[in-house]
Amino acid sequence: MRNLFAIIIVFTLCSCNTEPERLPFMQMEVVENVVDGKTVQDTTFRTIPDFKLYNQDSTVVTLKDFDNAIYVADFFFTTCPTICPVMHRNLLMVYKKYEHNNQVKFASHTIDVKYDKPSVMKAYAKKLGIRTKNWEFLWGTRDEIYALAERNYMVYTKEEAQAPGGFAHQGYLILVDKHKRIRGAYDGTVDEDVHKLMADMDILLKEK
Amino acid sequence: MSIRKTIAIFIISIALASCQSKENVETIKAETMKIHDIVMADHNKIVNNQMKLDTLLNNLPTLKLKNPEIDTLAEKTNIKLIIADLVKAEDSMNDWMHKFDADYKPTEHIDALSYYKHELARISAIDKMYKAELKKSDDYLQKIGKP
Repeated sequence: MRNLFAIIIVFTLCSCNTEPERLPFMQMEVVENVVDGKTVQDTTFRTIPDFKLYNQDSTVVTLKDFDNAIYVADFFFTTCPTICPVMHRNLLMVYKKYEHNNQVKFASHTIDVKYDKPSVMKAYAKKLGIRTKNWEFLWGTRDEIYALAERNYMVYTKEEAQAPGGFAHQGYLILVDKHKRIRGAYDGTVDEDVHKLMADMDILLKEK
Repeated sequence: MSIRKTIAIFIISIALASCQSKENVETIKAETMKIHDIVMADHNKIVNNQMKLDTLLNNLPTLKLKNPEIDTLAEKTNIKLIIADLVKAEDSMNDWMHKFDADYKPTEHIDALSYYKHELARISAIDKMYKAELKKSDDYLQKIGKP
Protein backbone atom coordinates (compact mmCIF):
# COMPACT_ATOMS: atom_id res chain seq x y z
CA MET A 1 0.00 0.00 0.00
CA ARG A 2 2.85 2.34 0.95
CA ASN A 3 4.46 1.57 -2.39
CA LEU A 4 1.26 2.47 -4.18
CA PHE A 5 1.16 5.87 -2.44
CA ALA A 6 4.81 6.43 -3.38
CA ILE A 7 4.06 5.68 -7.03
CA ILE A 8 1.06 8.03 -7.01
CA ILE A 9 3.14 10.85 -5.43
CA VAL A 10 6.02 10.38 -7.92
CA PHE A 11 3.57 10.29 -10.82
CA THR A 12 1.82 13.44 -9.58
CA LEU A 13 5.14 15.27 -9.15
CA CYS A 14 6.23 14.22 -12.63
CA SER A 15 2.93 15.49 -14.05
CA CYS A 16 3.34 18.81 -12.24
CA ASN A 17 6.83 19.28 -13.66
CA THR A 18 5.73 18.61 -17.25
CA GLU A 19 5.58 21.81 -19.24
CA PRO A 20 2.55 21.95 -21.52
CA GLU A 21 3.58 21.10 -25.06
CA ARG A 22 4.07 24.18 -27.26
CA LEU A 23 4.36 24.55 -31.00
CA PRO A 24 7.33 26.38 -32.55
CA PHE A 25 7.02 29.88 -34.00
CA MET A 26 7.67 29.79 -37.72
CA GLN A 27 8.46 33.48 -38.08
CA MET A 28 10.40 34.36 -34.96
CA GLU A 29 13.27 36.82 -35.25
CA VAL A 30 15.85 37.65 -32.60
CA VAL A 31 17.12 41.21 -33.05
CA GLU A 32 19.87 42.93 -31.10
CA ASN A 33 19.23 46.42 -29.78
CA VAL A 34 21.55 48.73 -27.86
CA VAL A 35 19.86 50.05 -24.71
CA ASP A 36 21.86 52.33 -22.36
CA GLY A 37 25.06 51.21 -24.03
CA LYS A 38 24.28 47.55 -23.53
CA THR A 39 23.37 45.12 -26.30
CA VAL A 40 20.12 43.35 -25.54
CA GLN A 41 18.38 40.67 -27.53
CA ASP A 42 14.75 41.18 -28.40
CA THR A 43 12.46 38.51 -29.81
CA THR A 44 9.85 39.58 -32.33
CA PHE A 45 7.15 37.55 -34.02
CA ARG A 46 5.94 38.30 -37.51
CA THR A 47 2.19 38.26 -37.77
CA ILE A 48 -0.27 38.02 -40.65
CA PRO A 49 -1.12 41.60 -41.72
CA ASP A 50 -4.70 42.79 -42.01
CA PHE A 51 -6.48 42.12 -45.29
CA LYS A 52 -9.82 42.84 -46.89
CA LEU A 53 -11.13 39.99 -49.02
CA TYR A 54 -14.55 38.67 -50.04
CA ASN A 55 -15.96 35.30 -49.04
CA GLN A 56 -18.31 32.87 -50.81
CA ASP A 57 -21.28 35.03 -49.71
CA SER A 58 -19.65 38.17 -51.20
CA THR A 59 -19.24 39.48 -47.65
CA VAL A 60 -16.14 41.43 -46.71
CA VAL A 61 -13.77 39.38 -44.54
CA THR A 62 -10.86 40.93 -42.66
CA LEU A 63 -8.29 39.54 -40.26
CA LYS A 64 -10.56 40.70 -37.43
CA ASP A 65 -12.99 37.93 -38.39
CA PHE A 66 -10.33 35.48 -37.19
CA ASP A 67 -9.98 37.08 -33.75
CA ASN A 68 -10.06 34.66 -30.79
CA ALA A 69 -9.64 31.70 -33.12
CA ILE A 70 -6.85 29.60 -34.51
CA TYR A 71 -7.13 29.03 -38.25
CA VAL A 72 -5.83 26.97 -41.13
CA ALA A 73 -4.98 28.85 -44.35
CA ASP A 74 -4.41 27.44 -47.82
CA PHE A 75 -4.27 28.48 -51.50
CA PHE A 76 -6.23 26.67 -54.18
CA PHE A 77 -8.47 27.07 -57.22
CA THR A 78 -11.82 25.43 -57.85
CA THR A 79 -10.97 23.87 -61.23
CA CYS A 80 -7.70 22.31 -60.06
CA PRO A 81 -7.75 18.65 -61.14
CA THR A 82 -4.78 17.31 -59.16
CA ILE A 83 -3.46 18.64 -55.83
CA CYS A 84 -6.33 20.84 -54.53
CA PRO A 85 -9.05 18.14 -54.52
CA VAL A 86 -6.84 15.88 -52.38
CA MET A 87 -5.87 18.75 -50.09
CA HIS A 88 -9.49 19.88 -49.60
CA ARG A 89 -10.73 16.32 -49.11
CA ASN A 90 -8.22 16.05 -46.26
CA LEU A 91 -9.05 19.51 -44.95
CA LEU A 92 -12.71 18.54 -44.91
CA MET A 93 -11.81 15.82 -42.40
CA VAL A 94 -10.14 18.49 -40.22
CA TYR A 95 -13.16 20.80 -40.65
CA LYS A 96 -15.56 18.05 -39.57
CA LYS A 97 -13.55 17.46 -36.40
CA TYR A 98 -13.86 21.13 -35.38
CA GLU A 99 -17.10 21.98 -37.21
CA HIS A 100 -18.87 23.24 -34.08
CA ASN A 101 -15.84 24.74 -32.35
CA ASN A 102 -16.00 28.52 -32.79
CA GLN A 103 -12.33 28.79 -31.85
CA VAL A 104 -11.32 27.07 -35.11
CA LYS A 105 -11.61 28.60 -38.59
CA PHE A 106 -10.45 27.90 -42.11
CA ALA A 107 -9.33 30.36 -44.81
CA SER A 108 -9.00 29.04 -48.36
CA HIS A 109 -7.72 31.68 -50.80
CA THR A 110 -8.32 31.23 -54.51
CA ILE A 111 -5.41 31.98 -56.84
CA ASP A 112 -7.70 31.94 -59.90
CA VAL A 113 -9.21 35.35 -59.23
CA LYS A 114 -10.59 35.77 -62.75
CA TYR A 115 -12.79 32.68 -62.61
CA ASP A 116 -13.35 31.82 -58.92
CA LYS A 117 -15.74 34.65 -58.14
CA PRO A 118 -17.64 34.37 -54.81
CA SER A 119 -20.64 32.70 -56.52
CA VAL A 120 -18.35 30.00 -58.01
CA MET A 121 -16.79 29.42 -54.60
CA LYS A 122 -20.21 29.24 -52.95
CA ALA A 123 -21.13 26.39 -55.28
CA TYR A 124 -17.75 24.77 -54.60
CA ALA A 125 -18.24 25.04 -50.80
CA LYS A 126 -21.74 23.58 -51.08
CA LYS A 127 -20.46 20.66 -53.18
CA LEU A 128 -17.74 20.06 -50.59
CA GLY A 129 -20.39 19.93 -47.86
CA ILE A 130 -19.54 23.06 -45.86
CA ARG A 131 -22.49 23.87 -43.63
CA THR A 132 -21.10 26.45 -41.19
CA LYS A 133 -19.46 29.87 -41.47
CA ASN A 134 -16.17 28.56 -40.04
CA TRP A 135 -14.68 27.90 -43.47
CA GLU A 136 -14.19 31.06 -45.52
CA PHE A 137 -13.41 30.79 -49.23
CA LEU A 138 -11.64 34.03 -49.94
CA TRP A 139 -11.40 36.09 -53.08
CA GLY A 140 -9.27 39.18 -53.67
CA THR A 141 -7.30 40.86 -56.42
CA ARG A 142 -4.34 39.00 -57.90
CA ASP A 143 -1.87 41.36 -56.21
CA GLU A 144 -3.56 41.02 -52.78
CA ILE A 145 -3.65 37.22 -52.89
CA TYR A 146 -0.10 36.77 -54.19
CA ALA A 147 1.28 39.29 -51.70
CA LEU A 148 -0.42 37.47 -48.81
CA ALA A 149 0.91 34.13 -50.04
CA GLU A 150 4.46 35.09 -50.91
CA ARG A 151 5.19 37.65 -48.22
CA ASN A 152 3.29 36.06 -45.36
CA TYR A 153 1.75 32.61 -45.34
CA MET A 154 4.16 30.80 -47.65
CA VAL A 155 7.44 32.40 -46.60
CA TYR A 156 8.61 29.22 -44.93
CA THR A 157 7.59 26.91 -47.72
CA LYS A 158 9.50 28.81 -50.40
CA GLU A 159 12.25 26.24 -50.57
CA GLU A 160 9.73 23.80 -51.94
CA ALA A 161 8.34 26.34 -54.37
CA GLN A 162 10.08 24.48 -57.15
CA ALA A 163 8.13 21.35 -56.34
CA PRO A 164 5.35 20.45 -58.79
CA GLY A 165 2.63 23.02 -58.40
CA GLY A 166 4.63 26.05 -57.23
CA PHE A 167 3.90 27.77 -53.93
CA ALA A 168 0.23 28.35 -54.60
CA HIS A 169 -0.34 24.86 -55.91
CA GLN A 170 1.67 22.65 -53.61
CA GLY A 171 -1.08 21.80 -51.16
CA TYR A 172 0.32 23.45 -48.04
CA LEU A 173 -1.87 24.01 -44.99
CA ILE A 174 -0.68 26.81 -42.72
CA LEU A 175 -1.64 26.86 -39.03
CA VAL A 176 -2.07 30.32 -37.49
CA ASP A 177 -2.52 30.97 -33.78
CA LYS A 178 -4.89 33.40 -31.99
CA HIS A 179 -2.22 36.11 -32.18
CA LYS A 180 -1.94 35.71 -35.99
CA ARG A 181 1.47 34.02 -35.79
CA ILE A 182 2.30 31.04 -38.03
CA ARG A 183 2.84 27.95 -35.91
CA GLY A 184 3.03 25.15 -38.48
CA ALA A 185 3.05 24.21 -42.19
CA TYR A 186 1.77 20.82 -43.36
CA ASP A 187 1.48 19.05 -46.70
CA GLY A 188 -2.29 18.78 -47.14
CA THR A 189 -1.92 15.90 -49.59
CA VAL A 190 -0.12 13.64 -47.10
CA ASP A 191 -2.32 11.81 -44.55
CA GLU A 192 0.43 11.75 -41.91
CA ASP A 193 0.86 15.53 -42.16
CA VAL A 194 -2.88 16.12 -41.90
CA HIS A 195 -3.07 14.02 -38.71
CA LYS A 196 -0.10 15.98 -37.34
CA LEU A 197 -1.98 19.19 -38.14
CA MET A 198 -4.98 18.01 -36.09
CA ALA A 199 -2.76 17.01 -33.18
CA ASP A 200 -1.02 20.40 -33.33
CA MET A 201 -4.39 22.20 -33.46
CA ASP A 202 -5.36 20.47 -30.21
CA ILE A 203 -2.10 21.67 -28.62
CA LEU A 204 -2.63 25.19 -29.91
CA LEU A 205 -6.20 25.33 -28.58
CA LYS A 206 -4.89 24.58 -25.08
CA GLU A 207 -2.26 27.32 -25.29
CA LYS A 208 -2.84 30.29 -23.00
CA MET B 1 -9.75 -23.77 -88.20
CA SER B 2 -13.03 -24.57 -86.56
CA ILE B 3 -15.70 -21.92 -86.10
CA ARG B 4 -15.36 -22.28 -82.30
CA LYS B 5 -11.61 -21.50 -82.48
CA THR B 6 -12.18 -18.51 -84.75
CA ILE B 7 -14.80 -17.09 -82.36
CA ALA B 8 -12.46 -17.62 -79.36
CA ILE B 9 -9.59 -15.82 -81.13
CA PHE B 10 -11.96 -13.01 -82.11
CA ILE B 11 -13.20 -12.58 -78.50
CA ILE B 12 -9.64 -12.64 -77.10
CA SER B 13 -8.51 -10.06 -79.67
CA ILE B 14 -11.40 -7.74 -78.76
CA ALA B 15 -10.63 -8.14 -75.03
CA LEU B 16 -6.92 -7.40 -75.57
CA ALA B 17 -7.71 -4.37 -77.71
CA SER B 18 -10.08 -3.12 -75.02
CA CYS B 19 -7.41 -3.52 -72.28
CA GLN B 20 -4.86 -1.75 -74.46
CA SER B 21 -7.28 1.13 -75.04
CA LYS B 22 -8.04 1.47 -71.28
CA GLU B 23 -4.36 1.45 -70.48
CA ASN B 24 -3.69 4.17 -73.01
CA VAL B 25 -6.48 6.36 -71.61
CA GLU B 26 -4.99 6.13 -68.10
CA THR B 27 -1.43 6.70 -69.34
CA ILE B 28 -2.39 9.71 -71.41
CA LYS B 29 -4.56 11.14 -68.62
CA ALA B 30 -1.67 10.73 -66.16
CA GLU B 31 0.71 12.41 -68.59
CA THR B 32 -1.78 15.28 -69.01
CA MET B 33 -1.96 15.74 -65.22
CA LYS B 34 1.82 15.62 -64.97
CA ILE B 35 2.21 18.41 -67.51
CA HIS B 36 -0.60 20.36 -65.79
CA ASP B 37 1.43 20.30 -62.56
CA ILE B 38 4.57 21.43 -64.41
CA VAL B 39 2.64 24.33 -65.96
CA MET B 40 1.19 25.23 -62.54
CA ALA B 41 4.70 25.38 -61.10
CA ASP B 42 5.47 27.99 -63.77
CA HIS B 43 2.13 29.74 -63.17
CA ASN B 44 3.47 31.55 -60.11
CA LYS B 45 6.40 32.82 -62.12
CA ILE B 46 4.11 33.95 -64.97
CA VAL B 47 2.01 35.96 -62.49
CA ASN B 48 5.06 37.22 -60.59
CA ASN B 49 6.69 38.50 -63.77
CA GLN B 50 3.46 40.31 -64.66
CA MET B 51 3.51 41.95 -61.24
CA LYS B 52 7.19 42.94 -61.58
CA LEU B 53 6.54 44.42 -65.03
CA ASP B 54 3.44 46.26 -63.72
CA THR B 55 5.65 47.78 -61.03
CA LEU B 56 8.22 48.83 -63.66
CA LEU B 57 5.47 50.35 -65.79
CA ASN B 58 4.26 52.41 -62.84
CA ASN B 59 7.79 53.55 -61.98
CA LEU B 60 9.26 54.56 -65.32
CA PRO B 61 10.70 57.84 -63.95
CA THR B 62 12.64 55.85 -61.31
CA LEU B 63 13.79 53.43 -64.02
CA LYS B 64 15.06 56.39 -66.07
CA LEU B 65 17.03 57.65 -63.07
CA LYS B 66 18.67 54.25 -62.69
CA ASN B 67 19.28 53.79 -66.43
CA PRO B 68 19.57 57.30 -67.99
CA GLU B 69 20.32 55.84 -71.43
CA ILE B 70 16.90 54.16 -71.86
CA ASP B 71 14.08 55.50 -73.99
CA THR B 72 11.15 55.31 -71.55
CA LEU B 73 8.53 55.55 -74.30
CA ALA B 74 10.06 52.58 -76.13
CA GLU B 75 10.40 50.63 -72.89
CA LYS B 76 6.78 51.38 -71.99
CA THR B 77 5.71 49.80 -75.29
CA ASN B 78 8.07 46.84 -74.73
CA ILE B 79 6.80 46.22 -71.21
CA LYS B 80 3.16 46.41 -72.31
CA LEU B 81 3.81 43.88 -75.10
CA ILE B 82 5.56 41.45 -72.74
CA ILE B 83 2.75 41.77 -70.17
CA ALA B 84 0.15 41.15 -72.90
CA ASP B 85 1.95 37.94 -73.95
CA LEU B 86 2.18 36.78 -70.32
CA VAL B 87 -1.55 37.45 -69.84
CA LYS B 88 -2.32 35.58 -73.08
CA ALA B 89 -0.36 32.56 -71.81
CA GLU B 90 -2.07 32.75 -68.40
CA ASP B 91 -5.51 33.02 -70.01
CA SER B 92 -4.78 29.98 -72.19
CA MET B 93 -4.00 27.95 -69.08
CA ASN B 94 -7.04 29.26 -67.22
CA ASP B 95 -9.25 28.47 -70.19
CA TRP B 96 -7.82 24.95 -70.40
CA MET B 97 -8.37 24.33 -66.69
CA HIS B 98 -11.94 25.61 -66.74
CA LYS B 99 -12.89 23.36 -69.65
CA PHE B 100 -10.85 20.24 -68.86
CA ASP B 101 -12.96 17.32 -67.64
CA ALA B 102 -10.87 15.02 -65.45
CA ASP B 103 -13.79 12.60 -65.20
CA TYR B 104 -14.64 12.44 -68.86
CA LYS B 105 -16.85 9.38 -69.31
CA PRO B 106 -17.91 8.70 -72.87
CA THR B 107 -19.83 5.62 -73.89
CA GLU B 108 -16.97 4.30 -76.05
CA HIS B 109 -13.34 4.06 -74.87
CA ILE B 110 -12.01 5.34 -78.12
CA ASP B 111 -13.79 8.64 -77.45
CA ALA B 112 -12.02 8.98 -74.11
CA LEU B 113 -8.71 8.26 -75.77
CA SER B 114 -9.31 10.95 -78.40
CA TYR B 115 -10.40 13.40 -75.69
CA TYR B 116 -7.34 12.93 -73.49
CA LYS B 117 -4.97 12.87 -76.49
CA HIS B 118 -6.42 16.19 -77.57
CA GLU B 119 -6.10 17.61 -74.03
CA LEU B 120 -2.50 16.35 -73.78
CA ALA B 121 -1.66 18.14 -77.00
CA ARG B 122 -3.31 21.34 -75.72
CA ILE B 123 -1.60 21.37 -72.31
CA SER B 124 1.75 20.51 -73.95
CA ALA B 125 1.35 23.53 -76.24
CA ILE B 126 0.55 25.72 -73.20
CA ASP B 127 3.64 24.38 -71.42
CA LYS B 128 5.77 25.45 -74.39
CA MET B 129 4.06 28.86 -74.41
CA TYR B 130 4.69 29.33 -70.66
CA LYS B 131 8.38 28.45 -71.00
CA ALA B 132 8.83 30.80 -73.98
CA GLU B 133 7.04 33.72 -72.27
CA LEU B 134 8.92 33.12 -69.03
CA LYS B 135 12.26 33.18 -70.82
CA LYS B 136 11.34 36.36 -72.70
CA SER B 137 10.14 38.18 -69.57
CA ASP B 138 13.01 36.88 -67.39
CA ASP B 139 15.53 38.07 -69.98
CA TYR B 140 13.87 41.48 -70.15
CA LEU B 141 13.76 41.86 -66.36
CA GLN B 142 17.39 40.78 -66.16
CA LYS B 143 18.37 43.35 -68.79
CA ILE B 144 16.36 46.27 -67.46
CA GLY B 145 16.79 45.49 -63.77
CA LYS B 146 14.21 44.16 -61.38
CA PRO B 147 11.82 46.72 -59.84
